[in-house]
Amino acid sequence: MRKINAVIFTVLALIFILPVAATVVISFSAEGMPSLQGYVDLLFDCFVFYPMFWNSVLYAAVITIAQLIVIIPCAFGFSQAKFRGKGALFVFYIILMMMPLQVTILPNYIGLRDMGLIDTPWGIILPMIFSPFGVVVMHQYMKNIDNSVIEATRLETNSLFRILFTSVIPQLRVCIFAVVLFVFADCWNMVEQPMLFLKDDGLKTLSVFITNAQEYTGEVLFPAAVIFLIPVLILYLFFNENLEKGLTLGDLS
Amino acid sequence: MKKTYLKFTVLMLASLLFFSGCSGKIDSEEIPTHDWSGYFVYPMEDVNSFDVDDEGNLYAAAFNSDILKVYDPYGAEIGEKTLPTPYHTAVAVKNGEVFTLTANELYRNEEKIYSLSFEDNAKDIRIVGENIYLLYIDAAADLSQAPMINPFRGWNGEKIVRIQFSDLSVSEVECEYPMLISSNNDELWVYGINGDCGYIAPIRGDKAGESIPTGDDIPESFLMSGSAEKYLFTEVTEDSTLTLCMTDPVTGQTNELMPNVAILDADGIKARDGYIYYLNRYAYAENLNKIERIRQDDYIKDNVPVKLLATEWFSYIPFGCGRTVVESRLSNEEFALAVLSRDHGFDACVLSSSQDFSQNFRDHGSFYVLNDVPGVAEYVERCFPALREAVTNTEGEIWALPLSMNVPCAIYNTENCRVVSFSPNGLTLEELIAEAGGLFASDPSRRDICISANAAIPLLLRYELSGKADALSDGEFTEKMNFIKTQMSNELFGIDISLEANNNIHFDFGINMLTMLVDDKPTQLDFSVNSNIRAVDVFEGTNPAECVFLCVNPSSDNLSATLEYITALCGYLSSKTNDFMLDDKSLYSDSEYISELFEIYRDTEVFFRIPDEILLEPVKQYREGALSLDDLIIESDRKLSAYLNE
Amino acid sequence: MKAKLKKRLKWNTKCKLCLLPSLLGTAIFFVIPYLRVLYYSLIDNQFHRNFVWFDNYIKTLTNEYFLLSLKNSLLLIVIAVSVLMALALVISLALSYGIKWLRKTRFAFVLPMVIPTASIVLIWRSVFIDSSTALPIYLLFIWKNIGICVVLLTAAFTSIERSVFEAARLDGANSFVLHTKITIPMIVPTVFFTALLSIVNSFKIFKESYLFYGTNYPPDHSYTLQYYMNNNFLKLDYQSLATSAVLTSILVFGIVMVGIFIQRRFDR
Repeated sequence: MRKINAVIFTVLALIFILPVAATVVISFSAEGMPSLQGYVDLLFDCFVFYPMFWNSVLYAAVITIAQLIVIIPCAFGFSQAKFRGKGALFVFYIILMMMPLQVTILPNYIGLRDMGLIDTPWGIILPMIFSPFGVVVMHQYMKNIDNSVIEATRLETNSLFRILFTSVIPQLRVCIFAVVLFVFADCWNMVEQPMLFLKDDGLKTLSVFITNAQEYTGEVLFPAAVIFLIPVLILYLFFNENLEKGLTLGDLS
Repeated sequence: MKKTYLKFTVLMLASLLFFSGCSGKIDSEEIPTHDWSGYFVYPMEDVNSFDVDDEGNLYAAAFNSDILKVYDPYGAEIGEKTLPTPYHTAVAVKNGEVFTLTANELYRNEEKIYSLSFEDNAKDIRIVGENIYLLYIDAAADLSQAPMINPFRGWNGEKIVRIQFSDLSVSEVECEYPMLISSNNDELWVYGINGDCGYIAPIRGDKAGESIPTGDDIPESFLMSGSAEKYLFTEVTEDSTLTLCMTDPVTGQTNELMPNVAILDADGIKARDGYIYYLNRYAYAENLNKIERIRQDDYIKDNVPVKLLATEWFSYIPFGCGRTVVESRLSNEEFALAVLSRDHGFDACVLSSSQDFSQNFRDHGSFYVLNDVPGVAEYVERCFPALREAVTNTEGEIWALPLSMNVPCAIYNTENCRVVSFSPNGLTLEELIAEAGGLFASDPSRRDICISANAAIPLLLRYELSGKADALSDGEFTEKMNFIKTQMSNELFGIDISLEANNNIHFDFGINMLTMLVDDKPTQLDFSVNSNIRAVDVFEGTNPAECVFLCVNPSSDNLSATLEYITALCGYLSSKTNDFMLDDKSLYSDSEYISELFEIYRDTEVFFRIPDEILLEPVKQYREGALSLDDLIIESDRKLSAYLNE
Repeated sequence: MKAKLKKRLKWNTKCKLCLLPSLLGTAIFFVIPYLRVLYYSLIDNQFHRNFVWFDNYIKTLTNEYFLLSLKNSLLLIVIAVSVLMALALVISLALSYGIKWLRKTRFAFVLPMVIPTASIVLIWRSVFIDSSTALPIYLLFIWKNIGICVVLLTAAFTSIERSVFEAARLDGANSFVLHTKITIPMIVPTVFFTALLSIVNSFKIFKESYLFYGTNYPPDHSYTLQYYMNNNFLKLDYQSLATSAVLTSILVFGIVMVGIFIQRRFDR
C-alpha cells in the first residue's frame, strides 16, 4: 500500500513538475539544440530587463513590508477590539478579497488618478498595501494565539507597541512567513496594474516584460520566465521550514 | 452732532469705494480693439507681394499684376491702388504711400527713388520709423569668405541699406553677414550669420545692436514679433512636412504653429499689432498663394496645447488653428481606461471608422455633445450627407467632428487604359480585381501592378465587417470568400506583406495606367491638371467611406479652450476644400475628374468596422489555408453574435 | 497632555485604532471607487447622467451572454474548485501523515504557482490542441493553484498533529475519534479559507484563458464573467461593465454567505 502510494505520488509530482521542467529546457535551447542563446539575448542585449527586474523586486519588497505594518495591527485589532458589526466588517474584507480584478481595476484607476498617483510607483504600491488578503489570513491565524500571554503583558505595560512586539508578533511568526510568501508572490505576478497604471517603461515590472517578451529581440521569453521563478522560489525555500511547523486558520465567522 | 458727521462721512466714503469697485469692474471688461478672431484666410488668390498698414488693412498684389488690392481686417475688399510696375518683389505701405520693390528698383508711389545695379537682386523692404530698409543680394560681393553654416544655406552677398524719408540719403547698415530682415511695428531686426552660428540683432539707425545667438539653422523666413518677449518665427521642413514654427531665440524652444505652411519669400511673413500675416504657397492646397492671418496671442499667451488621445493603431493630428496639438497614443486598454474613467488630462480624441472603437464610442463613450458649440452645426450641415449621418447619433446629438473622409474608388488614366484596351467603367471591385489580375497574368514581369489584399478585402467584405446580422450565413459570403481565395492568392497579391509596413502608400495599378487609391486622398494629388485622369466608382450601391472623427472630452480640464479650438477648427474645415468633405459643388473645380469624384463622395455611407479579430483575422487564416471555409463561417458567426449581443 | 490622553484611551479604543490604517486605505482605494461603480450602474450614460434605477440590471440580467458567462464562471467554481480541493486534501494528507521523504515532493506542487502566464500558456497550447471543452483551462487552473492549497492544508494538518493529537492520544482516544473530533473540526476553517482563495484564483485564471484562446471571444464553454466585463470595458460600455461588476460582487457575497453558513453547520 505504501509503495503504491509512493509511486502514485511520485508520478503526480512529476506531472506537476513537467511543464516547469519544459520551461527550463526550452529556455536552454534554440532551434531544437541545447543553447545559451536565449540567456545571452536576455542578459547581454536586452537592457530593459535589468531595471524591470529590480522594479519588480523593489515593488514586491516595499508592498510586503508595508502590508505587514498595516495588517498585523489590523488583525490584532480585529481579534481584541469589541464593537458592533465586527463580524460584518470582517465578512466585508473577505468579499473585498474575492473581487475579480475586472471589477476593481477601473475604480482603482479613478482613485489613483484623482490622487495623482498614475505613472508613479505609488500607484502600484499603495493599493496593494491595502489588499485585504493579508488581513483575512492574519485574522484567521490570530484566533489561535494564546491570549493569556497578551493579558500577562498588559499587566506589565500599557504600550500597544510593546504588547505587539513582545507577545503578539512572536506568536504570529509562522503566519507572517506565510503572508510574506503569498503577498510577495502576488505582487511578483501582477501584470495588469503595472501595465495600465504606469506609462513610463522605466517603471514597469518583470511581469510586464514577460507579457510583452515578443517585442524584444531574441528568444527571451523562456529564459526570462526561468529567472522570474527564482526570487519566489528562494523565498519559499527560505520559509519552508517555518511553514512545515504549521499554520492553522481559525473560524471565519 | 460730530458723531453724526463722522458716520455720514464714513458712509459716503464706503459707498464711494463700493461704486468705484463697480466702475473698476466695468473698466476691466473693456472690449479689445482688435478682435478679428483667430485664424483667417484672405480671399485673394495668387498673391505675390503684400503689406499691412497701421489700421490693419491688407494691401496685396497678385503675381504680374500692377493692381494693389486693399482689404479690411474682415477680408472685404475696400479699394485698390495702381503700382508703377507689375514686376514687384515686395511692397510696403506707410501713411497711405505705397513703396514698390522690383528686382533692382524702389518706387515711392509712382516715383523711382532708388536703383541697384542691374546684376543685384533686391529681396525685401521694411519701413521702420523714418527709414526704409532694403535687403538685396550684392552681385559684386566677395563670396570667398562667405560663411556656410550648413550645407544647404549660406551667405550669398546679402546686404542692407537704409534710405531716409527726409532726404532720400542712402547708407549701408553695418552688420555681419545679414540673411533676412523683419520689422515689428517700430523695430527692425536682422537675422544673419556670425562665425559658425546664426544670430539675430536689432538695427538702430544704421548699426546693429547687441546680437542674440541662435542655432546653426537658418530659417527660410524670419519674423520678430511680440514686444515684451521676442519670438522668432521660422518655417522648417522637418519630416518633409511644412510647418510654421515659433522659436524662442533665448531658450531655443520651438513650438509648431501651423501645418502645411510654405513661405518661400523673404517678405512672406509680417507682423502688425499682434497679428501675423503670411503668404502660404503650400503646393497641395487648392487655393494657392493666399494670405493667412493668425493672432499671436493664440500662441504666445494662451497657447494651451490641445491634448489628443489616439489608439496605437491609428493616428491623425488635425490642423492646429492657432494651437499646439499634442497627441499621445495608447493601447486599447489604456484608451478605454482613460475614456471610461473620465480622465481630465486629455481634451479630445481622434478615432477612425476603421476602428471598432469609434462605433462603441458613439454608442457608449463619454463625449461632449457638440450641437451647441458655435460653428459646429453649421459646419456639419455643409458636409457630405454620409458625414452628417455618421456624426449624429440616434438622439440627434453631434458626438464627433468629422476631420477627413476617404472613399475608395478607381482612378485611371484614360490614355493608358486605351493602349491595353481596358476600361474600368461599370466594373465592380471584384471584376476590377479580376481584370487587373488578367492584365498581370498576361505580363507577369510587371511587378508594378499590385493590389493590397489588406485594403481590398475589407472593401469586398464591407457589409460583413460592419456587423450586419446574418451576413455570413448567406451564399454571397461564401462566393466572396471563394473569390478571395482564388483571385487573391495569385502573385498579384503577393506584395501585400511589404505594404503592411507602409499603409500610407497609394497603390499604383500599372504604370500610370490605373491608380487605385485606397488610403491616400485622391483629391490631394493634383490630378485635375491632367485631363486624362478620371475617377470611377467600383461599388454596387453606396460607396464605403472611411472617416476620421474628433471627439471632445466632457471632463477635460481645458474644456472652454478646447471648445474654442473646435469652433476655430470648424471655421478652418469649412474654408478648406482639399479635404473634400463639403457638399457644395461650387467650391470645387469643374473638371470631369473632380466632378466624378464629387459624385462618388456624395454617394457614400460611413463604414464602421467591427473588431478585426472577428472576421478579418479568420479570413487571413483562411487565405493562408489554416482554416476551412466552414470553420471560418462558424467561428466568425459565433464571435459576431457574441460581439453584437453581449 | 499627550501622555495623559494616551493613558486615558481605553484598551478597546486602542484596539479599534489598530484597525484604522487598514480601514482608511481600504476606504480610499476600494470602497469609495466602488461606490462610483455603483452609481454608474444606476445611470443611463456618462454625459446625461439620468437616473434609471434598475434598467441596467434588467438589461444585463436578461442578456444571454451575461447569463452564459455567469453559468461558465459558476461551473468553473463548482467543478474545478471542488476537484482542486479534493486533490489538494488527498495530497496534503499524504504529505502530512505519509512517509517522510514524500514531503520533499511538496516542492513540485509549489512551482506552478510562480511560473509566468505568458510562458506556461505557450506550453499549454502545444499540449492541448483540442479546445472543444473547457478542460484545458480547468486543468491549468488546478495545476497552477494546487501548490498554495497544499501548503495551506499541510500546514494545518501538521499543526494539529503537533499540538492536540498528542494530548488526545494520551487521553486514550482511538483513531476514528481522533479524526472526527479533532482533525475535521480543526481542518474545516482552513478548508473553507482555501476554498475561498481558490475561488478568488478561479477569477484570476482569466489571464491564462485569454492568452490561451488569444481572443476576446473564446469558445462558448470558456466565456466567463471576466470576458463579459473585459469586452464591455473595451467597448467603452461603462453601464454594462458597472452593472456586471455589481452583480459579480453580489455573487461573491452570496458565495461567502453560503460558505459561512456551511461552516457554522460543521461547528455544531
